[in-house]
Amino acid sequence: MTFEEFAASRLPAVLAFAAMLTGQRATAEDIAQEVLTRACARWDKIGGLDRPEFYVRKMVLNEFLSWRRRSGRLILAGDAAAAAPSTADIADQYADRSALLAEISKLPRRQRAVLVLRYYEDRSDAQIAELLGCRPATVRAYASRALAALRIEMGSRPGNLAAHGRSEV
Amino acid sequence: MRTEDDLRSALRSLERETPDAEEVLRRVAFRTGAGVARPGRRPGRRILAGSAAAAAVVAVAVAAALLATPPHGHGRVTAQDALRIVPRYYMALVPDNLKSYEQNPAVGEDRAAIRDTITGQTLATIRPPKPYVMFAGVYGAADDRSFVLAAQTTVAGSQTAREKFFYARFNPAGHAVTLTPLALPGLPVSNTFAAAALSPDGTRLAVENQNGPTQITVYSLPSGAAKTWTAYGTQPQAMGSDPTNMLSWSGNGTLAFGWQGSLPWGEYLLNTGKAGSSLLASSRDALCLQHSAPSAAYVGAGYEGYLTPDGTKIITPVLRPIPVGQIPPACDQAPAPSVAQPTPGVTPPATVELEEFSATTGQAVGVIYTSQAHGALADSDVYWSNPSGSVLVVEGKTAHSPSRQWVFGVLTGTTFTPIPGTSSPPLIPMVAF
Repeated sequence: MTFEEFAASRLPAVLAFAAMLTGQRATAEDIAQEVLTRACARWDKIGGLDRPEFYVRKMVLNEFLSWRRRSGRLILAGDAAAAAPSTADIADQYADRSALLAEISKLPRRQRAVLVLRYYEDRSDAQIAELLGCRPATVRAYASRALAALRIEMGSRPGNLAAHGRSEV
Repeated sequence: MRTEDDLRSALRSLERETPDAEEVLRRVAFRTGAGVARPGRRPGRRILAGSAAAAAVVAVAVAAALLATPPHGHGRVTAQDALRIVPRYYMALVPDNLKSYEQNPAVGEDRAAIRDTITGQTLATIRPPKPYVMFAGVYGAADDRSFVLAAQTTVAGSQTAREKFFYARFNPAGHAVTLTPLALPGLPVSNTFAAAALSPDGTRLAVENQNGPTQITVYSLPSGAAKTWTAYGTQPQAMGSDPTNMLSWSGNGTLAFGWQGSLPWGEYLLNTGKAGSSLLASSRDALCLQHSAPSAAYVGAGYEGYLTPDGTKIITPVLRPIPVGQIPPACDQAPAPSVAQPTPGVTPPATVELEEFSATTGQAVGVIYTSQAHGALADSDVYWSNPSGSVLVVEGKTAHSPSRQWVFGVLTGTTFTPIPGTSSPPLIPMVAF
């Protein structure tokens, strides 16, 4: 796969992946720029791999995990404190989502990455383990801890995650 | 499961944060230029060849992305969109003591600050290494994180000042700036350099030297090689009123400079890839906007034309616009009667406008804004442009501001979006995007 082919067909998905991980367009841009600059310089090797996109996603993931934290929160994703419950259904949904994103942003990065890979990209634990460079059991542990933390933090909200019981991890 | 559904729904809502592929590719293309990441060193042929190949590859990808996505700068854009189109980071020179600086700008700027264009937040600050005490100029590449700083040993205007250029590279991951001295031969000292400009790919530094006949030297940052063009037989000439904007590069190596010397005044284009040592003989007088009467209606306070990165247009302030489609008369010719003329002896109205001209023919191709269009009332220099010139960073005074502060802003169509952190006060004497 040439870099042009990669850019034309797969880059948007990789950029969306960076956005999911960071929750902020600006940081996603920075990470994507760093990764693509390095990837482009080595594209003669990366392009010859079986799964170039997988390799670039792994680079994005590693860059995200090592990125200096500018802020402990996803600035644009919402704020749990600010997202006050509303009587209107749509407003409730928005507030819940905003609060949930705010809680996701507080998770350790590896846990957040596992949630993104599992619930946004629908990847198997084996695939996630390969991307993170760990065992599938570790992935399950990350997911379990992340979901438990979310349940606790969202527990006090009406119509929240905890009210609907535990989910499978 | 409700939990999973909630998570999926919440994460999908973040898709709105997905970066623009074209913009990311464009910045990668600039960064893959040869030697950008290794200032002050002399990379071997292999590195240069690899980088050049990478740049070529990304350039193709950018072109492909451009075909697939609508261009920026057309139609209405929101303030947030406007701020996202321009470089993410800019560097500003700021004085420690604002009050002293306002009373006497010659005390210079003590530090350089990297700021976030969207939020105005200062992300990193650096001071010149000893024995240098102030920064005298800042020049940006097109990747939003590579800059060249000119540092001085003493305050501006001193005849004994020594100057040195530094390559400044901002790392957004660590909020750190790496300052690398540029060991280039023949850089001007004793306060004789008047202007400089960094090429969009960050590999070449153009410096104008006025120590004797005016010279422009282009330094290759990776190799240290220098090439000088001299305005033989002329005295040192001021090329403009603002040293920040007197030189501008296109992506193909053309350098634009204003000339107000003994030969016809105008905006000249120097092909830095061609042989030759005579500044004016090696250049083309692309646009004549004469200062002196009776043509004074055409031009602003200085020759501060800006060559767009794609090399197709020159954007410059004018006191009164040339009608679109017309070519300003050559400087050694009488003005064409069809062009509006002021009454001799009468000062033209001070309504400065920004107009674009073809770099090939000199023909007026569009009035970018009138002073009333977006509230700015300044002779707006251009500090940054997207390749085609449809999105600009200019400086102006906002009409809605109670104190009518100066502010840098993004100009898209007739929309002027102020950039956070650039208003005065706090005073920002020099910025580079």
